[in-house]
Amino acid sequence: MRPVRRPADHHPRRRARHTATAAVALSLVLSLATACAGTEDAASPGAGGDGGTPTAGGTLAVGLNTSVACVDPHQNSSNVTIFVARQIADSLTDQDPETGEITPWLAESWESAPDATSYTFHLRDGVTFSDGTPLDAEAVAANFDRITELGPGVAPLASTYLDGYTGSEVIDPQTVTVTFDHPNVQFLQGTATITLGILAPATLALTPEERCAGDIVAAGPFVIDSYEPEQRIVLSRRDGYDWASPAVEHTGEAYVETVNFEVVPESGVRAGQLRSGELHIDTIPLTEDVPNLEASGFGVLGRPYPGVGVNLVPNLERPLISDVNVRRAILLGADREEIVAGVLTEYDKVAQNVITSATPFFEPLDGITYDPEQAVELLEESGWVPGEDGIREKDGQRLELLALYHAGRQASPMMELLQGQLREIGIDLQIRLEAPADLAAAEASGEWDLWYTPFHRAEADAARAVFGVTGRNQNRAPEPRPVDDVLQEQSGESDPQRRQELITEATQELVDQAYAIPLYELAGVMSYAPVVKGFHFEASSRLSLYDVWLDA
Amino acid sequence: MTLTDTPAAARGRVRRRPGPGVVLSFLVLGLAVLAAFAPGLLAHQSPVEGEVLEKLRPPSAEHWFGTDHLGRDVYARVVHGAGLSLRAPLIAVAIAFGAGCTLGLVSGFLGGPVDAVIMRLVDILLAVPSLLLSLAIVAALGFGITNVAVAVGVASVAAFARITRAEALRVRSSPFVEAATTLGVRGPQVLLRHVLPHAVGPALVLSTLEFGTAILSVSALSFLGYGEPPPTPEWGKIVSEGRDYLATAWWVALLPSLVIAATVLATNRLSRWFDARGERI
Repeated sequence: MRPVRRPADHHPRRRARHTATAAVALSLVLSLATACAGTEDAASPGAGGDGGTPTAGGTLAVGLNTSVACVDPHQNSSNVTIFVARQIADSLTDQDPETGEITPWLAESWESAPDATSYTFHLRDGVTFSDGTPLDAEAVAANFDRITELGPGVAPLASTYLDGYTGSEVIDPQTVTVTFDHPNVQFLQGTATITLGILAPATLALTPEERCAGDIVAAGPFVIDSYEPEQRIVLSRRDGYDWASPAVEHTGEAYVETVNFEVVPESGVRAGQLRSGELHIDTIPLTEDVPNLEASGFGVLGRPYPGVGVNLVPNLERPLISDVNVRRAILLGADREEIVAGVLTEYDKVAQNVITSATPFFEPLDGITYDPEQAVELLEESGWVPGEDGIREKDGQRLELLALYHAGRQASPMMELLQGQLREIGIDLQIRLEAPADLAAAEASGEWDLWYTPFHRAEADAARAVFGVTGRNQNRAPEPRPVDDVLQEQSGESDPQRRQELITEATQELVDQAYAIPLYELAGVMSYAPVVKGFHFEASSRLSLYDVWLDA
Repeated sequence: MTLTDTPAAARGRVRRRPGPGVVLSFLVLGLAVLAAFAPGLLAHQSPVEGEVLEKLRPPSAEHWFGTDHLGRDVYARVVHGAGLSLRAPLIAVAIAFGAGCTLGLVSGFLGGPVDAVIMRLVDILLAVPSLLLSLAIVAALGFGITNVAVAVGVASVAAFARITRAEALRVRSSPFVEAATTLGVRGPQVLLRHVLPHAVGPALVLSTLEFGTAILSVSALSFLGYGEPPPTPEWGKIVSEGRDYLATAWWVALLPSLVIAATVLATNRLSRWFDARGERI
């Protein structure tokens, strides 16, 4: 409440106000000073790595950088959603992080038709959802039916996995056959992802909004206790869980009793909390903190994400960027070596393809190079000449492009660095960070020239899921392009050698036309306290907490 | 009376020559203004281009404030950020002063229902914390430093309106205004020629004080990301970019914060000094 001044006595009151303003200024400085002092000396040494006998119990605190806008894995595929959902829902199959091989989980075995148009799953006996209902063939069929019903608008990613889905047939309570109207090779790997995680029929009956708000019942090793999207999500261990994937380290119930996912947007605060023991795992540490943490005994887990790496995706509906020369100029004007050495960690790599080297069927492509001279030539060819401030112009229009991005690890420094690199060749790159809650609306509006797209999935079909017109059509291509046919063809090709050729052809075409501007291969990097044992990633380099235990 | 007058008179004599604090404040503000109008004179490095491999270097002879996370010179960014970071509070205070004084004068001079309506509106403005009000306004207007300036300005209209109204009320009932009215001078003339010059003094002093607060508010909004898009430097944004590195590179956030604090304190000190001089006159 501000004091109301009267002329007769305004003098002393005004003095009080001087002091108040001064106090605000001083406290700002003091709080900064104490923040420095608080975080610099708190390093506690300890041994990282594994070893010892796992002990059950305890509360694990995991730091997230943004709020979990929606916890339903069918609808949302952001990293934070997957971090949480992976612990509460199981999938039909699992995937070996090392080999990429699909292994049994809820399905003990499966057969696929030779033309990849149908798959038959034999489910494991005795699996129940946390509300007590059985996980049977009916439930699996209901999941796929419901995703198709929600459609690409509500369940964008899950819908691309079920591309061409015609229905599921329940053979007996433990057997279900899923059929497609055209060959769908990538579906099998899709069943290993949390995006096609199996939810309880009771959950499927809810509205998409209710499911987003944390009302999720599934068959995973943890269940949701409480859900406050902006602050914390509390999970507790599910008693009687006994159907762990053979790909993990142990069987039976999970070790830790409670998992607290804490939303802490400030990376500096997360680093401080990790050092002070308030957090056990930081899911997104700052590049600059990683060497310090490693040096003082903290563990760091780093593994490249499979799938589509960090690419900028041009919006072909926008006039300036629909010119292939402008797109190629950005491709050639981005100095990837400087980006990786400057703002990323030792775990991140320069892009060699649209998909990353951790993805099956990866092959290095030609043309992803740094060549500013050629970039300038291309711009000149299209009639863009330098203006007064160094930014190119044509017919009085500035070469100004808007790139939207979201809070990925090191995304902001990377975009600012790229902005400087493109300024050198005369492109004014405007960058805007979108909050998780606004992301979908911003994307749908189409009011952007470039979209920041890492998309993590251990399957080369990720390229079709992102760029193909039958996928998310991130390019907003008004009509199918030649590359879309190749992308579609590979998703139905069951001969690995032929599929390899098609994938390389399609990704090379994406680069040649600069429908994709590959920058780097982002790695999943997480730091953890020395007391955390048994911590490993699943196949898509995301968090898996089933094997984690605390060494008290 | 003579006895009690003596210390006051002595203090007045001493105060005639500005103390070291005032001189220092003049110096700090002078530098800030110079940075705002001719940043090239104070810093030769580029505020937007840096050598990323030289990132987060501590302060040195080459980089007085060190370098930030993209290898840019923090000192150059602070100097080049002064333009926007000082112009916005200036616009804000101008808006608050212009709108506030008009409302206050009209309200105090006309009285009656007009006064009641205007003052209730001002009450509403005062009921909402000013930073919160600025946030709401800037969220409605959209991002950008001009919108931030407008938002901060609108949020401080109430103080100016209140103080001018009180002065207008006082002046309106003074004998020389009554004399002018009796002599047949028309209402608007009385307001502009007789009431305004006498009522505006305290508001002027208040505006120097509000300037300091406005620097803080503008920096706060820019810290929260409502300012210009990157890479344009602004003080609040520089601090915000540096806060991730407090543990490893304190200079990126701390030194610009000290500059903000020094500027605000200098403005405060000078406004007190002006106030004291004004009272003697």
